[in-house]
Amino acid sequence: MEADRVRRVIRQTVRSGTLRRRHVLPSSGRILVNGGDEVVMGQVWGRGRMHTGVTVVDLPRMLNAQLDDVPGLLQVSRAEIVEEDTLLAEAPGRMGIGRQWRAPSRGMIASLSPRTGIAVFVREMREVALHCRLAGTVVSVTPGESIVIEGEGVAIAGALGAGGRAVGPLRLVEASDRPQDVADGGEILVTPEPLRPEWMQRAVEARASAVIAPSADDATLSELALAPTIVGLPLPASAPLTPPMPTLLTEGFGHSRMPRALQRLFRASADELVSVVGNRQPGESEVLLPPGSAEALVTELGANGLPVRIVAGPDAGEEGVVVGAAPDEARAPSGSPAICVRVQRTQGGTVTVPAANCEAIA
Amino acid sequence: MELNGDGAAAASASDRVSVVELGAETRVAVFARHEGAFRLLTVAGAPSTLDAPHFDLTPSYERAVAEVESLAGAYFAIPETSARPHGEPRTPPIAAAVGRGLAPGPSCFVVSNLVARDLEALEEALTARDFVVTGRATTAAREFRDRIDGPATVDVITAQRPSIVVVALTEDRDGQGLAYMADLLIGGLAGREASYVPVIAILYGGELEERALATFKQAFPVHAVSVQGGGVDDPLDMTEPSALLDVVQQTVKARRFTGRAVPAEVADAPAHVTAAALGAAVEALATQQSLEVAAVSLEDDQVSVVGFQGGTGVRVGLGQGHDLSRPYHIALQTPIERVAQWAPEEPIPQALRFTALNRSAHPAAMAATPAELQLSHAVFTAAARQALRASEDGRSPLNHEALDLVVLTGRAARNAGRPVQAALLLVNILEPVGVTQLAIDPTSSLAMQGALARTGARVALESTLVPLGLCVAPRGRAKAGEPAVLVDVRPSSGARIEREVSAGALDVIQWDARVPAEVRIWPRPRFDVGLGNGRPARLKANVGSGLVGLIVDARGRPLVWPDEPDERQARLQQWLRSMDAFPPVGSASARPHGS
Repeated sequence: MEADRVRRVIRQTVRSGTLRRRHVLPSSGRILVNGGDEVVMGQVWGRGRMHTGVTVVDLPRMLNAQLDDVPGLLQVSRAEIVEEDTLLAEAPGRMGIGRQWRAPSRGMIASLSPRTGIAVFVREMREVALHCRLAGTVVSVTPGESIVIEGEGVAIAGALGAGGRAVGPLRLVEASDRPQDVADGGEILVTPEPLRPEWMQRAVEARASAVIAPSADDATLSELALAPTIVGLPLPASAPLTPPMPTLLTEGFGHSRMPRALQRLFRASADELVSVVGNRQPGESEVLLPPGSAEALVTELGANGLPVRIVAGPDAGEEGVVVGAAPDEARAPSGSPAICVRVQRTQGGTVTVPAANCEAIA
Repeated sequence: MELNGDGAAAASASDRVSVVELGAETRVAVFARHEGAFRLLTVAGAPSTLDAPHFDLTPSYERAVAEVESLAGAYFAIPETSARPHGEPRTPPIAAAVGRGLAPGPSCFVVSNLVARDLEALEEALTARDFVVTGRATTAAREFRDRIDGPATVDVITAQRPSIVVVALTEDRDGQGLAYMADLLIGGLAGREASYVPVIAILYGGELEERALATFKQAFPVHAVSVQGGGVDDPLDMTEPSALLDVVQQTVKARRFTGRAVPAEVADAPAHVTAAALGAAVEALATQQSLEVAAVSLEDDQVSVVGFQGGTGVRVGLGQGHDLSRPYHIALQTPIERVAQWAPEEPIPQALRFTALNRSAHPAAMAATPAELQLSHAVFTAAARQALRASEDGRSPLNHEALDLVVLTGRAARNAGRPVQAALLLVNILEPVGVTQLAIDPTSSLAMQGALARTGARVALESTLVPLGLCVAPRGRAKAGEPAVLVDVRPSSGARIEREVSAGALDVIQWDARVPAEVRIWPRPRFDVGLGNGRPARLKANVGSGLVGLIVDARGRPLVWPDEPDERQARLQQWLRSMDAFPPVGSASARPHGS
């Protein structure tokens, strides 16, 4: 009963078993699978076109021109890549001062409607193949919008993430190794050490498709554009607007190493195809591992108590196993009422911490 | 409600109901009807499983139900009787669900060229279906395109992300208006990485052009109907639009949990957004008690201040989202210099970011040390004060001189280490003037009770509030250290307590909580407790001390700080020490926690 209660009040960050994941078309695109289809991880389920840095303008109004005249006022071709501030369209005016439309960034005119003269400028436009993040069955299809896949696997929640989605074989990069030692293109790299910009640069050079790391500090978050502007980090002039690749942090902001239990889970899936979602929206980033070794390991890890990480307070960053509730402790050291648990630390010794500050990692 | 032989309550389904709250935790409250009103029996929660790695509310809902059942014991289950035939669920039916992103109706943006009369009728029809109109781009001019700024409209829609965009056009010459909207919305919204896909509802005067409709349908779920009327002398016939809006309402409701699995009984329950439910609770409390009431709800991801004064409700907040995705911590929406005003030690931006980002990443985590708790209270105070003063003129919508009762709810209420911390949060956020009762909602169930009240049920709202005490705050200023007010407390048994408090100081008078006391207040000539400068006051009724006692706040209104950070911190520390609000740093309730 006590063990049940402890499991109820501790947040789970690993889920093993049947998973359901919605896959959304990023834009007008095509869904290539049908309800009831069996799919494998990495299989292409749809194709679409992705836009970033979108600016919409009403050209007849902006240029004070007749609709029929608008195409003739364009100074560049559609889909021609131009630099920021390039003159895109101009209507002659009196005294030689006409109305102009200039490029808000590097990019291209993506479309110009002949019927309305509405033009769309985009920083980037990509044709993308959309891959299944999970093997299983397509259980629903919403035409023009999304599909839902149900299948077996192990899902590991990310604390923070950014950069989008990737599917690829998983490779662990040990502390003594460099990304280029284990990757030759398309891999999802896992490092147990806090992420450093130079390490990420090497991962880019090794053409990795995504990176999984435990944590990153202020400088790394801003240098790699891993945090949104809401966080208030100063953006170096050299920083990209988006991360160089999908990136997921399992522990969060700071200098924590990856818990051993998580390392074991990733090792169990080494060389297998896995998927990563790095999303700046908290709670949306995750890694999906195929069933099999990872699933068996989750069962094994949970057999001798609940493996947890401590995420707040003086013991933050520690890893251990919950050995029971601490019924005599009804308050956190802050004085706040709390359900407390005793955690046998991996590094030795037992600590009593609020259950709210533990997260189950298997 | 009566007890039967085996200790379980003899109750039927109608005697017990539950309310579910969705947030960082999934919480379930069970209410039992007693003397015609529902009272909170118990409440419990489990960390939410709505996001990764689950995207399924079921585990946390089931854990919360199991936890609440273990707390309520035999009182939880509805026994098998004629009222609950064999096979019917034994758990109380869900009367309501409440949560940050659980607006009862979807948010919508209206684009139209309807005349004022028809636009009003359309918005009435939307409101009647609980749609919340969050923005509009409208003109009564037939030359619709020339009168609205299309690209700016798309920018607003992109920023607001309403659930639906209503396009209502009549007398659209050559279909130009519809084609214009199709190009704008597809160009501006479709294909973005953020994949925001609103439902488009089209009310169109005349025959809908297939080509424009097909263009819309390439990118959005579309519901469209041809409408009759809409001319200057011909009111819009609302029959078809109303039927369409009913369908749209169902479509959007079905999309509310898109991508997430939710137990049917929760998904189907009447849904209430937290701030609205809290508003209903405060209104009911004010009406039941004939008081002017305000409540402050402090959660890690949102703060709300709601009031009901003079028959009017007031609602402000920070971090009020419109969907169920997990938001960032409230500290990220609060300027650090404002947090610094309330932190006894200068917060380092990096440290505050560390806390805020990691609390966003680990939403169940709580302040583990007194220093962390102080910092979180500084953030709450700064955020709630910012919400109160976010209006154009910077004035609070509450009348702070006429607050009879103020209540603290939310996670800050559940996690208060000492009752005086809750009292200080209320006093520092609301700066009440005169005499105000302070109370805490330690189970943080006020919004859940408000949601239940909104279903029409009678709810004994006051039954979960615990009195913290009174705050006496005279208006006026004097040099720091000069006497400001004398308070005379005469308990019905025990010694009389007289306390003079100086300008700029904060003090608390405590007496036996079991004994009511007569309270007299003698403000100095430059201070006023509601009857005029220097005029003494005597409380009409004897009062209990509550958990904290009588707080005498002679800091003046509005609160002012020295500009110098060291002086400001010294003053704040002095206030906290005088109230014994936190354990001294280093001592902590600092029990040894390791071996």
